[in-house]
Amino acid sequence: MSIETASPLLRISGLQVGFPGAAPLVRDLGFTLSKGEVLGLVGESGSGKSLTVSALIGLLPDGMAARGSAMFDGQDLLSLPPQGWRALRGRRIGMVFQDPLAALNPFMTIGAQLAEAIKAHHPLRGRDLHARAEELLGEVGLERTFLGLYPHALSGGQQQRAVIALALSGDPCLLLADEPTTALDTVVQAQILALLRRLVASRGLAAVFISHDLGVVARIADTVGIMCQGELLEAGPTAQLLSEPSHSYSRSLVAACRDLPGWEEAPIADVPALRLRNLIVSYGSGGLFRQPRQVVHGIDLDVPAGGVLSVVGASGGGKSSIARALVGLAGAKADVCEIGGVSMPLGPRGRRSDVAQRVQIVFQNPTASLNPRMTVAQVLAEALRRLGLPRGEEQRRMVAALDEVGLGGEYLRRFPHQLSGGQKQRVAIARALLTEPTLLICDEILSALDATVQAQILRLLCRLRLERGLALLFIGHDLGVVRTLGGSVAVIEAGRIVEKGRAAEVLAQPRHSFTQRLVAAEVSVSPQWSQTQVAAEYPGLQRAVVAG
Amino acid sequence: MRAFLPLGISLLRALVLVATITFIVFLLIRAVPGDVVDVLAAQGDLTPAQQAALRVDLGLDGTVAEQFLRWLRQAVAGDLGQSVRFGRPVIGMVEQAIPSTIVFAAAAFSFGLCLALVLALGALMAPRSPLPALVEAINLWSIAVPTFVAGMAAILVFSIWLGWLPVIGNMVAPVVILGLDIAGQLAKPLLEELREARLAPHVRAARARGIHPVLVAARYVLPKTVPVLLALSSISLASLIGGTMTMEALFGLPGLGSLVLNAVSGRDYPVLQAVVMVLALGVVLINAVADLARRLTDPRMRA
Amino acid sequence: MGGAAILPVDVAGRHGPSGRLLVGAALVLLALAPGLVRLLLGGADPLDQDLLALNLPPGAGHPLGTDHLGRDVLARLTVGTWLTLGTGIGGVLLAALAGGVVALLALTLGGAARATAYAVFDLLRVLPGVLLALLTAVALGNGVGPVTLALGLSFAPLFAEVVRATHEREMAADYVAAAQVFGLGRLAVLWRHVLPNLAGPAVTLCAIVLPRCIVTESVLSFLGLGVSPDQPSWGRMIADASGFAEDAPHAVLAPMLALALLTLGLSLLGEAARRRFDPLRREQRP
Repeated sequence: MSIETASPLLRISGLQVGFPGAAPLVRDLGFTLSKGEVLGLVGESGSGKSLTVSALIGLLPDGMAARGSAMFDGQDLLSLPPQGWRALRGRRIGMVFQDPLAALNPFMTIGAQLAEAIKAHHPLRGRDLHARAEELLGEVGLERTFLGLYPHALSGGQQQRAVIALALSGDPCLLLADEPTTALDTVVQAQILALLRRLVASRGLAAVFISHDLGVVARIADTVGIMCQGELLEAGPTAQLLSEPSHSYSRSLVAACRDLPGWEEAPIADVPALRLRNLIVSYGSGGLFRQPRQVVHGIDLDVPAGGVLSVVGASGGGKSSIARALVGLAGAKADVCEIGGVSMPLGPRGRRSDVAQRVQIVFQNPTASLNPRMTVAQVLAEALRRLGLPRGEEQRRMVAALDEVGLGGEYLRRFPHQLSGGQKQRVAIARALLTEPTLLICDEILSALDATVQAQILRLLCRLRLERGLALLFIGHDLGVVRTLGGSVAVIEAGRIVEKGRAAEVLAQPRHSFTQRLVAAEVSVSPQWSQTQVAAEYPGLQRAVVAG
Repeated sequence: MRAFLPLGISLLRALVLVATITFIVFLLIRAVPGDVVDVLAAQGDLTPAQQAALRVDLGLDGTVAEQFLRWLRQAVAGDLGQSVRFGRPVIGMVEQAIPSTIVFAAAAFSFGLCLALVLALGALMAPRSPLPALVEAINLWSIAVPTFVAGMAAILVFSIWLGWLPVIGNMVAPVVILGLDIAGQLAKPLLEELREARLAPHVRAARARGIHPVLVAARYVLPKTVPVLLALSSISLASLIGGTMTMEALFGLPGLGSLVLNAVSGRDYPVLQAVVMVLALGVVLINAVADLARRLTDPRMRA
Repeated sequence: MGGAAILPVDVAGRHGPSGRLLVGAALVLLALAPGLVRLLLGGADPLDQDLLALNLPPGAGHPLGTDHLGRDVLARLTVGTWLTLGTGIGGVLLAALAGGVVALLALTLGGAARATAYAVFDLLRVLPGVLLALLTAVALGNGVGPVTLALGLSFAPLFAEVVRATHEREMAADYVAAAQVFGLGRLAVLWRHVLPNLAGPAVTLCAIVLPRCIVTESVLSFLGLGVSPDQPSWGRMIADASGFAEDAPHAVLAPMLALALLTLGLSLLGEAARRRFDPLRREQRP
């Protein structure tokens, strides 16, 4: 449809996005993109990457405006009237979204949505239309039976495939992808990345792929741009940018992904921090008609004093249930549950005992784990409540805990909304430390944080472990972090341990097929990485039907 | 099969609800000191034997539970007793009143719903027109101006001052007044829901796909508001019933409202009992239908 | 949709006392003014009948005229101010008590208490307020007490629903989980985390329900199901005078106007409060 020339398909220069009259949220952005090329934009939340993409499809939030120039195939996108946009959207520019379930119409079948999207751009009817819909599904690796299904009946990976098929229904030449794998499991993420890469090659698409995860972007992009606070700091070929980042922020971003802090083995005492035998976790009180739903089916875990045990697995596999059970938030029973050699009662009532307070937990979302109405002092005081300390002593301990996590006493009077994400997570850790725990459970504590902050929090955990002899039970999905933490690892699938051992050994030589899939799907930043590896790693993906 | 289980359960609950309400009414009426026989006895001279016979006749002998079960058995058989005031079978009076009430309430509700839909959609499409302000105003109107006040004003203005006499007994004015009230309750939450639905990711996705705006509105924005619309409708049912009674009383229309209000002032308990049961049955039935519609329109709940 | 996520939280910027708040307050003051003046200066007896001065138009001696029994309309209106407002406030308080407190108790106790309480609330919800008032009027007769009871019961489910939604949302929050991890009991969690988050929505709901209560009271009094005949609540006054609207339109118009002013003002205040707290919507979006 467009003329094949050496000139770029998309040339953006001086792009400014923001509310008229206010400071722009995207400043002076420029790049060019040719057919068959993937540009990855990486940035932390608030960096302006999503706004950039929204401006390119004319769907900025109400009231926002874009200025500058965005030449797409001979016309300036930023001066298009609404009718002009309608001719471009779907037909020339397609878009893939972060949350696939939310991006699909829950009231229409996949087939109906596909047919509607195809009809919007191509004069097809009846059998031709149906055939085209089937063809599109096949292209994204879904069987034609999916045509009759409603979105909620699909798995996350299948939903994202459907969203991609919809984006391709008008045969666009530019594809915009807004964090398309963030809501997905690592294994599914790898499949979607491979699919996108293949589509770019087979259709000669130009694509803008944005993500907060440099590792993900490195896996798909030819060119990487680093964005920070509305500005494009630098851009360049992926391998070059990863090996020689020129800007200091880019360096810290790359370093945060690759060089996780060194992790020395702490001295190990005789008595294990946690000895757990045959833990069973189930939800639902088991009312008159309802059976309690068992999610963890008898697992054994050991964490040596001052040691680390990582628990990894797909979401919904029971990782977090183990964490919640150990702090009395889920109905659980076990043959043996000992903390530092002392038996610990499970269940909510057991939390009142001294031994139970020696197990503490830090949650995934730092914002959700602090009551927005409480000051940091009130938040911390909750941990000390049961001790009934005099006011001065309580205050002293709280300040000490804040100092220990790298914040100071001046934070006591702040409210959570006055803190950054990393600071909130530090407060949550300080709160957990106040009861002098033997074992600290970290339930996905890094996943809600930006990459540079992740590295800082990891460094903090590393220090705490050395200084306090604190044992860690680390629940996570990022194998890079697990590798850095060292110690042991337990791989959980569907509520059972399928493999465990030394972290280094298990990750290097996974024996169980589930572990092998996890390791294969791992996204890591390495300068040697090249696109051809995708095809080499996932030969089976070509045109295959994937369970998702 | 599974889809019908919740339906069965909600029907069962509805029946239990009606039985409970009916029983409570029964208890309340029996709790009032002095029954009809006492009243009649005070007016004329009835021997104790006559009083007892009358009690048996009116189903007022035995314990309350016995009376209730007997009443229920007869009610199921279609016998709701005799009106104490008019001496006519209650079932006949109720049967006569139901159609006009249903016609009136349905007319007012349909008018209100259509008006609310038109206003909300208009305000959504044309945010710079006076329509959003109109939605706001009609909402305030429905809260601040009770239907009977509006009705009185209409009678004053049209019937008394302007002399267009046939306002009393005519259905147009009360339907418009009650319809405005319903529209005021529905339009604003509906508009808020539509505005929110328009920001939903799947709406954005459809626009990004280049789907025609009219199709986006019809297939993506509107269906999302159906559950809310159904919930709102079943909430406004209460005020629809109250409004219908008020309008019937004010404009002298025949119907369940007039019937029950006269029954209260005349202590005609068999009629009161029957009308309350019919109204409760109606409310519960409509709620069950709304619940069913919500399930059927949402594929996630159909499975 | 990262673009939407980084929007400044309050783009539309509704801060400071809005026009709604000011106009609402002014209307309420205007509606209450005659009543306030009477409180300070006293006035004629609202039950005093002057059978020689029936249906007098407004004039000297009777600023708002007299009704069909020769009673001073202004006197009835001013006494009715407090009767109307008082019954409405009583209804709101009873609804908050019967709905909010009972719901909180039931949710804390859990199990059968919770199921029973919410079954009753469900029953009250489907029962139209008029039907409820009909029953209390039949069982307890006319008067302020039965009407307040009917109002309280019919609006209680709203409070129960707000309590349930807040409770559910708070109990699912990670910070409540964190509190439980530190061994805090149910009551402590309720006191520290649920109640503070309930205060705003509950107060707002009170503000929203008050005008509805007042309107409902007037409807009930109009239908003869409300206050007793010698109590001149505004609804009762309208009902009494409606039969004589042709001869004495002022006797109908005065309470109608007062009622409309008061409920309109209170609704504006309630709407201003709702825009701040929004208890009837689902959870706030980030």
